[in-house]
Formats: sequence, structure tokens, C-alpha cells
Amino acid sequence: MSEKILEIDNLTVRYKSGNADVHAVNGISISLEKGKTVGIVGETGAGKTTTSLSIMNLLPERTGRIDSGTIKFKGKEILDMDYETIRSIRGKEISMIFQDPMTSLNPIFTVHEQLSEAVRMHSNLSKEDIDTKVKNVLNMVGISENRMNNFPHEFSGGMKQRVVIAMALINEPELLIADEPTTALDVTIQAQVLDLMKNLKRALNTSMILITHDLGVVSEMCDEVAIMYAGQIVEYGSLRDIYKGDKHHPYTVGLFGSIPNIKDKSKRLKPISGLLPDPTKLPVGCYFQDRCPHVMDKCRTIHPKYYINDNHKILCHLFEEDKHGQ
Amino acid sequence: MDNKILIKTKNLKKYFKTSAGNLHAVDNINLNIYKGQTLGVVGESGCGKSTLGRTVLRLLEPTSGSVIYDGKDIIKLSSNKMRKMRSKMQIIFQDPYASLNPRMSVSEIIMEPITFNKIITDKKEAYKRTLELMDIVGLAKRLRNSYPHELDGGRRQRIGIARALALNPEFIICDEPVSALDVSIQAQILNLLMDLQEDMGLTYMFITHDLSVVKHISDEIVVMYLGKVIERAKSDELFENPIHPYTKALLSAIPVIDIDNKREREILKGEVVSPIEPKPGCRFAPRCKYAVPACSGKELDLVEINNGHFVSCEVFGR
Repeated sequence: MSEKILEIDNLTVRYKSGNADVHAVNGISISLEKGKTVGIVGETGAGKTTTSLSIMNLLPERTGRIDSGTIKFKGKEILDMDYETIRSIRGKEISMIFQDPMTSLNPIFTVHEQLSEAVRMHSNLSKEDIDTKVKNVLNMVGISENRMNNFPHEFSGGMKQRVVIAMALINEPELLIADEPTTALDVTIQAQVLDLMKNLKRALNTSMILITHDLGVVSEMCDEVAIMYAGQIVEYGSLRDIYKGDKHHPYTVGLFGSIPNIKDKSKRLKPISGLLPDPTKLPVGCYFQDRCPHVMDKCRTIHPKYYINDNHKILCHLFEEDKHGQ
Repeated sequence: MDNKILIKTKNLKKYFKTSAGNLHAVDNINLNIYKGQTLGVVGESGCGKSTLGRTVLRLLEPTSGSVIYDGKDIIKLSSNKMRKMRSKMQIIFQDPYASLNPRMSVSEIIMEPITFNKIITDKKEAYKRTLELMDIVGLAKRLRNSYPHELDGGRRQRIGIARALALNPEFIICDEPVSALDVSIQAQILNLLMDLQEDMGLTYMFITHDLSVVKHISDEIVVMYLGKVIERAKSDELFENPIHPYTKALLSAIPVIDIDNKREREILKGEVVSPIEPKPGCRFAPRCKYAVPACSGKELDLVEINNGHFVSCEVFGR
């Protein structure tokens, strides 16, 4: 049995918005083994980023709150940790790459200063040792040493994202959370960055949570996939379960049908009609009911339970019969 | 389908003056856009694709060259005549929110071009046409008094499309119209654009960085790199038989969703060089692993190597 690096159980997160409660994450469970990558896929408002912020304990203090659930990192409960403890873990054992490289770098410090600070926060290394570390990590992400005294604005988008990745990796974290790391990049630069992340992950045996809306990126990077919709994981399984399995949540089917496939000649896409439900007024029953082509009476009254087949889980009434039949 | 050319650009150039010299955003581009078809323009950030679109519409004055619309050089038209011309040529922008006036309601936004251009002078008729347009683009009537900030990205983009259609255009430039949208919404908008083309015989120039989208919607595709067209072919031909090393790298960089047929990736080294006062020769040569000395020094032309398949490459393009 391999080591579990992260176990999220029944996590529920709410945001306060005026008088209403935004139901951002509604009871999700994920467990991640050491060295593996799980992809969290979903559209805007599915709760992907909220999930990752909860793991880092970075939810906005005044408005966000975790209603229930547990998040265990290497067996220890993150939600019970005091400020100092979580701070010593953040950026050291768990680090995060954000979507927009420009907003995650400080414009008035050089790349070298920012990378050194990340090391200094978590160690008592000498100036020389820090320097070596900075040079090594820059080397690893393919940025030449003689650019380390440049400021962020002197780098292109792809280079800036490399700096952000370097900063996330400099303390050799055990868990890396990458929130849409390549969405802001051009496709050839995206290929470079994905390749880099894959190699680094292999070299350091880092576990990773990759948040994305791009099913192509997931297929290149992930071992397991969680499809999120309206704050729930509607389908979870291995890459093979999700991409090749014969049973799927109707939302998963819709997502795949929405992507123009470069190998496919058919001219019309099969999109999902309608929009996400209002997260302040989620419907009774299944959250996908209004957009689902297979909707049944009970979908409007009873919230579905997971159909489970080994590691493959689907949150849909369509398959419940199967389970009981077995 | 008849193969009438609706728009033709001849040696079109748009340079921007910068303190370091001229920035060659669009450099000597010759295009044919056929009536009722879609020309896809692909390339990465900074390759000049949006500038090309704006220059074709004369929203930017070209440095030199001409844009022939239905036999007429529109660059030579007076501003008065150009304004009339504009109703035939419309544009849909990437960020529908930034392109809609936040203080106008949905129906006001769509009606504005109709009354401003005196397409319909009677107020009631114009309003009727507005509701009709909302119906055409799939906006529910109940949204007519809503404001853009109340709507999601997909609906905002539908407003942008309705507004473009309000003047009964023949030609629409779609500048990254789905890039800011979620995939399920993106598919809805792509289907809408294709239905409209079929129903109204519209001609599109579709600018995007997303190769799977461009393949899906285009009849013909041009690939741009640093202000130049480096390859041009029918959509299927380009994807089945790419010739230019940059096109090949671009195609192989797309992450595929087929987990059983992983292709060997071709990872490009380095990044795009500066488009300011470029030296003559292939602009891709510094990143190209096949580059030979002959790639630099002289300007390369597009050469037809296969029926309708043009490429500008010293090594593979002959």
C-alpha cells in the first residue's frame, strides 16, 4: 500500500455573499498517493480553485468558511493547525502555482531576490547556499543564471511562468498544487512548460493536483481525474476510466462532446445546453438536472449517490440500478 | 459552392513606429477570402493576427498595400464612403464584456447600430428587428432589459454577435470570439456561428490561437508567424500534411485527448524573437532545427507546392 499524501474527506465550503450563502464546494472527497497526479476538471464556478485554496488554508477570512469535512496532509489534519504551523508547511511542503504569472510575482524585486526569500522563509541556510539553490532551480526550469537579477517585467509570459514554477519547486515540496498553470500561455510554450513539470515531478517524486479545464492537458499529465460540477465531484476515476470507460456521468459526456477534436471530421459539436445552477440556490435533487439529456423524475427530488466500480465513481441516478443488480 | 473571392489583400503591410524602430506587425500579406467560406487565421500571441483583422477592416490604416472588397479597393475610399462600407463588414471581439457599454440594456445595445446607421428609421420597427435578432442568436426575450453585467460570458458574446448582425453584414471578422468562454459555452457559440453562416451565407475571417477550434470552423487556414503568413492550405490538408516546421511544431504541441495514441511531441526551443526591424529571411529560423544558412538573408515567398497548399520555407517548401 503506497503512502497517502493527501486525503480530503467530505469537504464543504461556503462563501458569504450579501445575505446569501454561496455553496462553492459541496462534500468532495479526494485521496492522493505519493508521486501521483490528480486532475481536477471543471468549468468556471465548479469549485476547483476553492478546493485548492482550502488545502492551503488560504480561503478569504471574512467571507469563506469550511462548513464540514477534513483535509489530512501526511496524516495530519490541516484544518486544525495553528497559523504558525500551516505557515511553515505552505511554500515548503505544499506549494502552489497560480494561473497568472504576472500577479504572483512582485514587480519591484528581482527574480533572485524573490527566489531567495522563498528559501530564507523556511531554512537557516547561508547566503552562499541559498545562492546555489537559486541557481540550481533556475537551471532546472531553463532560465539562464545571468538573468536572475532581472525584474519580472523583463521576462516574457512563458519565462515568468517558469519563474513561478521555480519558486514553487525551490523547497522541493511534497505536494504541488497547480491552478491552471498553462492557461495563459501559447500552445508551444504550454508544451514546454508541461514537459518541464513532468520531468521535475519525476525527478523529485512530487505529488500534484492539477486544476484545469483542458482535457488535453489532463490526458498528458494525470494519473487520476476528478470531474467537478457545481461544487461536487460528479465523476472520479483513473485516466482510463474517464477517457475510455463505458459508463460516464452525462456532464462528462457533455464536456467531451464540446471539444472540437482535431481528428474528428464531424461538423457540429454536441454542447451541453443551459448554464450552471445558481450556487446560492442549488436545486433539490441532482445539480445537473436542468442540463441533463437523461433527466428522470427522481433526479428532481432525490440527490443521487455514487455508483462505485473499483476506483471509478459516478454521481448519477442512471447507474444506481446497476449497483444493486450486482 | 461558387468560388467567388469576396476579399483580397495585396501586399498588405502594417508597421507600428516604436522608439526602437518599426514593428512589423503585418508584413506583406496576400490573402483571398472566398464568399460564404471561413478563412482561419492562427498564430501565437504577438504574431499580428489581430492587427491583420483590424487592418482588413481599415480600423487601422495600413502602411501600404490594398484591401479589395468585392472588386473595390477600400483603402482608397473616402471616410464617408467607408462608413457605408462598414455596415457590410463587422467584427466580433474576444472579450464581450469590454466591448459592450455597461450602461445600456441588451436591447439598447443591439438596437443602437440599427438606428445609428438608419437601417430602420421607425422606432417600433427597429425594436421589432432587435427582438428578432435576439431570437436569431438565442437570447431569451426576457433578457431585453438586462444589463451586460447581469449576464454570463456566453450570453454577452451572443449580444456581440447580434450587434454585428444588426447591419446585415456580408463579412464578419471573429477575433478570438470563444477564447474567454468555458468549453460547453464555447461549443454553443461555435455552433451558432456555423448555423448563421449557413442561413445567411456569411463570410468569416476567424482569428484564433486555438488550433482545434480553427480546424473545426475553417475551410481554409493561414498560419502566421511574426507578421508573415508562413503556410496556407485547406483545413484538412493543413492538419493532415503540415509542411512548415513551425506549423508542425504548433500542431504537435496541442495536447491530445486520446490516451492510447500518444504522439511524439516536438518541443520548440526558445521563444518568439522581436518583430522590431526584423532582418530579411525566415523569421522562424532562430528556433528551427532544420535551419540552413540560406534561410536568412533574403525574403521568402509563399510557394505553391501542392494544389492550393502554399508554404514559405527554404528547406521544405520546394
